[in-house]
Amino acid sequence: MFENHRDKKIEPEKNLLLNKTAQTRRQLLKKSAAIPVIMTLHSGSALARSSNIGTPITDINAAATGGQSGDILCVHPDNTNGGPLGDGRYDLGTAPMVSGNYQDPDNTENQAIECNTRGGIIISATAYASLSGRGILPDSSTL
Amino acid sequence: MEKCWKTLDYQSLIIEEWDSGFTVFQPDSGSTHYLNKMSVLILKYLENDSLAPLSTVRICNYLVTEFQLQPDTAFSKQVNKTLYRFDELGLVKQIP
Repeated sequence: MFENHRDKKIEPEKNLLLNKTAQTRRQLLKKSAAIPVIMTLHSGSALARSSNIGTPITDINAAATGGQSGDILCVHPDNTNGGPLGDGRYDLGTAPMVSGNYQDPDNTENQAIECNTRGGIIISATAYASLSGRGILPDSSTL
Repeated sequence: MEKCWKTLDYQSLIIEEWDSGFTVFQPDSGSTHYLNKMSVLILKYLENDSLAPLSTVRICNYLVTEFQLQPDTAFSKQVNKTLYRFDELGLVKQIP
């Protein structure tokens, strides 16, 4: 019923190629055994990212369309799978927190200062909406 | 002056042998490393003679004998490089 692959005949040309590959592999192993080798292994989960990448705003006015509250958001990336990527961008993770209730809700500059004090990053509401629009991040209005 | 080496917290390492080499888990740092037989032998050799730190030359001589190699400067450099890498990872320490 089932084909026995072990007994399957290999064409002579293919056999030659397989032998050559095996020979090369053996040579490579033999060569690498002649020098000390050390490689640090990295955990896959540590490298896993949520791909909710956002860039913090450096110019508040550039993001604030009308100078009203709601143009920018103070986001705290999820500690479990988010954080700075080291190139100025942040992975927000799967469950970031958006903080609100600003003391001075109509002043974007003060919001930015307050956000920094709280340990968050300022991103534009539009950028956040584009991420939450994919259904990955929670909608900021529900947070 | 010749550089000498000794292991650092070797007893805490969890070493597992596989078909193609060894994995070494370092509980202190939480890191796991892949080492081939020669690298593991360096650590074991340093550990077994841990009372007296061993020089790079002595380590090389030991490996040359164990692996029946032709001693050359390239090999010594490679061993030295590995020892420095071990030092960076906290597996060995250099004794002045």
